[in-house]
Amino acid sequence: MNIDYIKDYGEVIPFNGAFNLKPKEKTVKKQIKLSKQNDNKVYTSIQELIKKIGLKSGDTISFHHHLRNGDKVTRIILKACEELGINDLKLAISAIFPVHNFIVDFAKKGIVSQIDTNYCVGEVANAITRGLFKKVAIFRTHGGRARAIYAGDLKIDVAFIAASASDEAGNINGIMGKNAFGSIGYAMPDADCAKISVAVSDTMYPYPLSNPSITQDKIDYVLMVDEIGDPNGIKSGTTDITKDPIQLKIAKTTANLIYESGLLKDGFSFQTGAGGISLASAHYVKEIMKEKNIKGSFIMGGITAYLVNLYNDGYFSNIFDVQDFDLEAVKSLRENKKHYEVSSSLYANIHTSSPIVNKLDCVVLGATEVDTNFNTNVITSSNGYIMGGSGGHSDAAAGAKLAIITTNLIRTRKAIVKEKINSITTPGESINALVCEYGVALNDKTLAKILKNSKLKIIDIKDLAKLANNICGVCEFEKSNKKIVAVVEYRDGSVIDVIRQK
Amino acid sequence: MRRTLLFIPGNNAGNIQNAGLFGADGVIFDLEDAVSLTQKDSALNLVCNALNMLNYECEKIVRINLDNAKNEILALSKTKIDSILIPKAEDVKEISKLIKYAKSLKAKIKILLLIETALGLLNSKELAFLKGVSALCFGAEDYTSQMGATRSDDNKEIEYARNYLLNVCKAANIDAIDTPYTDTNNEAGLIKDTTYIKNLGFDGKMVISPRHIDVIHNCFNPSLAEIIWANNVLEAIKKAENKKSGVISLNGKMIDAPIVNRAKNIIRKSL
Repeated sequence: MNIDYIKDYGEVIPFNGAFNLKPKEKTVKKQIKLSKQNDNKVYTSIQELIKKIGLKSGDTISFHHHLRNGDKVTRIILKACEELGINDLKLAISAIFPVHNFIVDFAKKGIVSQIDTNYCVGEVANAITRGLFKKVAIFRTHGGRARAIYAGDLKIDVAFIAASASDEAGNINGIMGKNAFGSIGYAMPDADCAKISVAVSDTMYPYPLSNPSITQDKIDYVLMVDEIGDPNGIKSGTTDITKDPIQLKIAKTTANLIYESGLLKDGFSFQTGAGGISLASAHYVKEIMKEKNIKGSFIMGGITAYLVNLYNDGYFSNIFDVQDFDLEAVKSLRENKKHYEVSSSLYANIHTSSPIVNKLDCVVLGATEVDTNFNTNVITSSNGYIMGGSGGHSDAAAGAKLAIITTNLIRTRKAIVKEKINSITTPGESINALVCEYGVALNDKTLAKILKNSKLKIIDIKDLAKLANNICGVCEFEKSNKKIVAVVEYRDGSVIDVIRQK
Repeated sequence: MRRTLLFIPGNNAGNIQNAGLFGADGVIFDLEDAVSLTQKDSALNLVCNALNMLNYECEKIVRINLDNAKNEILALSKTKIDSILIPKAEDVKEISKLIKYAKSLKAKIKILLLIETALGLLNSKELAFLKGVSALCFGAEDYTSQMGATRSDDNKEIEYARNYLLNVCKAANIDAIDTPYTDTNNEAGLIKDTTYIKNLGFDGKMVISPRHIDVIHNCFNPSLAEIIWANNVLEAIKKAENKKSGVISLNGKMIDAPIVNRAKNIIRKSL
């Protein structure tokens, strides 16, 4: 990184190692307010509320993504802003899905000028890649977003917090109401630090709301709408174990690697995602735990029915939940005693005393590309188009004792492991191993010693890259010199890479 | 060792690329039933290129088309192929000629014959003894179709064919390979079927799903109890030889040549 300053982002602190950047002493305080006995927080008119809070052009507004592809709140608010002639907004939204494709039109009209997010797919991702937004996008990690909010690097003027249940005082949660979506963990830093916090809900409960996730002292107003979204849209990945034999092979190898590492014993803690290889890895880990009678401590990540079953069947004693990927997980958060809702800061903020990721034994992660130094891309495709984001990738990789990348060596005739990759999201230094269908590549000398006599097929990552090149042909790589369309911020606030226009 | 021979369609580049990754003892690249008439040429090219380019750490077998056998054998002889599987083997003279032709092009090539018709089964006692034949494989689907039989879970309709073919193979001292288990979602059924044919004496099974491979290997691999028993037998033999004793017994039971052979087989399979 030889860039000192990026317009509309600011001064660049170049990435210099996963734990080398010491935080500056700074904390952000919630704005002081005077509350009176007869204050009415509840509004039913969006425009009236926006006028009341004084939202104006150039402001930063934030949203969480717990409703994922079922979210309706972002559209409701942006439409009202358009009607009121408010433009040049910075949208600090923790993740963007195809349901948010309409944002592209708002960008063209000048209503939204900048995106600040942790994950982005769909038309908004294409629009960022093509340089359609007025200002450069910022990609953070889940823990990095929490850090940026508490450090004041991401200043939020108004946080619009979708809540499936609220009372008139602003006690809110995501586990009750007609459109319950589960954990509301990504909105907690917003509620703590935004100048104004607005709960947006469609179900009002009598005061006091039982089990509030965010309490009334952090919510300034409650906006009642018809529907905050469709909770069926939270579903991510699959609830069935894959039948793809290659994915099964990778998953089985991954589970064997975890066992052979010596970490899979009583008290084991584990994070994995939804879908494909991740779910199958969890399945094979469970099979080993069953055979060896191992009782784990906690599971974490996007929570699915499969992980809930691991808890219910006694394989793990606790679930830490920042977000839910299906309605079974929502039900579990509501009913299971040791299924804990946690904030994104507690989950992964590097600049706190101890984020939960630091207690992880093992995390299984994906990749769109991996270079021969184990640097991993999860933001862009092999063609350089944005198609994802770090989410908790870099956070969990840095925190876990064993961070494993699982991937096919070749996907749709393209090598995934190669000399150079389009964009770095997670630094290779925080990755311990890569598992593909051809074997295991290690980036950890201690682990290599432990696995020396195992039955795992250990291959040098450079040999994997060669093998992929032999099958697919060498992938042409040309670093673009076009304008920067996105900044990739590491979890500590340094810049690990930039993404250029296509 | 041919516990599992995995069928891979010869016209699917992705499957061909991954064929060697599932741990099967052999892969059968299929140019016959899995490939439509319009794709036969391109499939042959694809398989030939893959055999030369990719490193498969298992036996590389190609099922050819009987009606274009010579052309395909010629093309395949220039590759790193190990074995040819000749389908619908019936006519002893015709098969004999094909084997000679293949051997003339690539001396070390092994021949497997697929017995999948009533006539093929009848002639198998001669086919098994042809020089160069290293295994007979049983194809139950075509066989039962020709017989007018209905496939059932208990496999009674193929019991005679299985036993006859097995007897022929043992007489000729070649491998006997069983028909694939076609229900890819019934693991219990696969275990039952594989255990049954293993106990009959079959050396392995053709496979149509990579997910079946580990299951079949587990069935064929000797159990811990079998390995302990076999080691005890071989130890007893060794002690008796050292003592120059003519009568050998273990736990009160006499050990004779067939028992020793069985013990040796178990140890060989456990390695």
